[in-house]
Amino acid sequence: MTHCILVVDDEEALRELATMCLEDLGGWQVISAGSGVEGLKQAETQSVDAILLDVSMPNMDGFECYEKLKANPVTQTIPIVLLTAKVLPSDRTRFAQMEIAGVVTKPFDPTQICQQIAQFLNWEP
Amino acid sequence: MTFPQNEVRFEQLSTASPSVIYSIEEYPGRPARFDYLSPAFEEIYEIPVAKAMENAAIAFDTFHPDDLSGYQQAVIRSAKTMQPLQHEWRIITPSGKIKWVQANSRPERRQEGVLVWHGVMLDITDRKQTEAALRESEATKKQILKAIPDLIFWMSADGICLDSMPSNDAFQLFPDSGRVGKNLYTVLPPDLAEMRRQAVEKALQTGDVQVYEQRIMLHGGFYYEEVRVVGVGDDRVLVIVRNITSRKQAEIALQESEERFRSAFQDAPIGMALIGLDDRWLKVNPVLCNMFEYSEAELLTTRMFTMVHPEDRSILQQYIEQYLGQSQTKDKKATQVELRYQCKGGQIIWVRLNLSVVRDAQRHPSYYVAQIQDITQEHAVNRMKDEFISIVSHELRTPLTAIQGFLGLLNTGIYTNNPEKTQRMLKLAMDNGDRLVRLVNDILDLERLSSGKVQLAMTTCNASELMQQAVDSIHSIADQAAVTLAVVPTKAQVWAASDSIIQTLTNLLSNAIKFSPPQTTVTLSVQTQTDSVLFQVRDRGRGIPADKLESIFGRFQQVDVSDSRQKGGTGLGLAICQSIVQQHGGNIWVESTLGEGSTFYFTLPTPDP
Repeated sequence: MTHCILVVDDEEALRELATMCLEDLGGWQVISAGSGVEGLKQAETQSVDAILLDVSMPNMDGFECYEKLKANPVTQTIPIVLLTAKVLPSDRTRFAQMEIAGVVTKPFDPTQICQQIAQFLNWEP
Repeated sequence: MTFPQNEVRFEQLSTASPSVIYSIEEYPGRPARFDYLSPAFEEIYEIPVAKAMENAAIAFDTFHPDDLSGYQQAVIRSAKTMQPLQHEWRIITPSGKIKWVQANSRPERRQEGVLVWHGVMLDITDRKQTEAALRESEATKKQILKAIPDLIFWMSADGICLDSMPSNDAFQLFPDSGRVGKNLYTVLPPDLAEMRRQAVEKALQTGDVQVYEQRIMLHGGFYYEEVRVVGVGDDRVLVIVRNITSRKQAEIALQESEERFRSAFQDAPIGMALIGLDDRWLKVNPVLCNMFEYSEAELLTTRMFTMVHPEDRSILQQYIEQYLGQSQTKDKKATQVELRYQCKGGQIIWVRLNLSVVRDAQRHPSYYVAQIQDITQEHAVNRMKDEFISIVSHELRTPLTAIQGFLGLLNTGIYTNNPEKTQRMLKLAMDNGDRLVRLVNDILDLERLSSGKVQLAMTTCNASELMQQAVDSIHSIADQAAVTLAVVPTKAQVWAASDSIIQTLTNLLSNAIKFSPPQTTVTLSVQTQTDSVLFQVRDRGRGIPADKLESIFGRFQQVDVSDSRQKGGTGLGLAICQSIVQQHGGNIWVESTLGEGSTFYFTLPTPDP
């Protein structure tokens, strides 16, 4: 059975890049959302196995989106992988306190990202 | 009284007298012989009277060897002159005691050249011992006085120097030669002489030692003396003058050093305090009081710990424990800690605290010396820097991720047979490359401008030329967006670096075009003011919310972050404009009505007439 991943990123180019990587190299099914609000809607209404969530987004950022996902009984069990360019020690401290499967930092190697995510989620490669 | 009665009376007196009453005969060429010896002889000489009467030599044998010849000479002199003999000598009694004896006698010449001395002999040992002791004590006193490094002299009640200890000139400011006999008013300056006179008077009146200090101008410098005046008898005083210049100088130096320290503490430009081990403020300086908004009195009744932000108290506790622990054996250099404190008004400030411990002779901590610096501002700047770095990092990483990602995907070779997707990926990579270049340029521009390293080359410029050049450089973009650019003609001149003002105008025009609906006009005009020229860039775009009117000039402070993606901006354009205008000594601001459009204004100085 093919895994379905929800990609939430406000950057169109990065959304497309992630989609291509996960679909064309990982063979997974991808749903994408251009904002936190849209991401919440997709997560609630679509059946997704994991969420690749960008942290820096306008209006509702990744942190807020995460809180809302965890607060909603429908979405709280979906594993989350953060996608971020935040690399300061204070950011890492914050990530460590979150219930997430893992963090992918930008820029990422497109040929490695699928293995990376699969490892975080304990999926068969 | 009859003769026999006299005889008896003499006998009684002679027996009772503690002095030896004697008569001694001398014939030339024969040993001397006692004619009479009273009983006291035996007590002094420890020789029975009868024995001595029998043989006078026994008495002469008691003579101290050093004193015999002196006695003999005195006897010869007395015999020659027939003057009374008065002599003192020592005897050594049979029991070995040394006694002093004094004889007073008168010579009497008899027939055949016989001489008889009648007289009394006294045991003067006690008197002699007392005299010796007195002499010794006098000598000791003299030696002691000599050893005292003070000037010592005696003075009469009316201020005449009577006598002076001769030594110790080396310690004195005035050598004592010629002091004796002089009045103090001729030796001392009038004020010091008067002071001395009063001390003499008081010493004689009260019998108490008078002590005072005097300062003397000598050899072009000040010297200090301590003067003690002691009454001796009714009309004399002993004056002891000590040179205390070095002590006084040390005192003054100490005072000055204390004053300097006090002022260093009091006037230090950072907060300084002494803090007790019970964490009470012991001493605080004005900067510290201002920092915490407390008066000194209020602060001194407050404990330091209670002022620390509750979340930071454990940090301070740990810091103190660690510091004290480390310095148990060897004092480490004071380290520092950054903490939040609560001011009197409840405001929270960040401070940098440096503690060092002051220890007593047994190395036990006594109190702390603290330096406390308000770093609230610094903290804010650091936080802004962190945020800026975080944003820049994000802004740079996003296009990089896209470029690297798409090229990496293409490199896998799986899209060889998919030219459409390949084309799309290349375009996205190229767009992000452009975005990266713009971003790097803007960051460098801004950095260069705000670091102040670039001195703008100002000249007199025609405002209309600046506007026209900006319009020319951006014309193609306006055409693409179907926006018209209008320049209102002007003769105004400004004092400016033309390139940077063209860049400013271009940035403002480019923003205006981005947010203008097609078929609208962006107007560029100037207005001459008293000593400046006001530039205006007006658009008919969507407008800017009131709460963003100021913040949009900050770095990466777009009204909507997604604007930078859609409109191709970097989020630094207005920050660069502001930096340029400010370097010209001008101001930049915006007025806007939502849905109607915005007008950006900035001022530039006019050239000096």
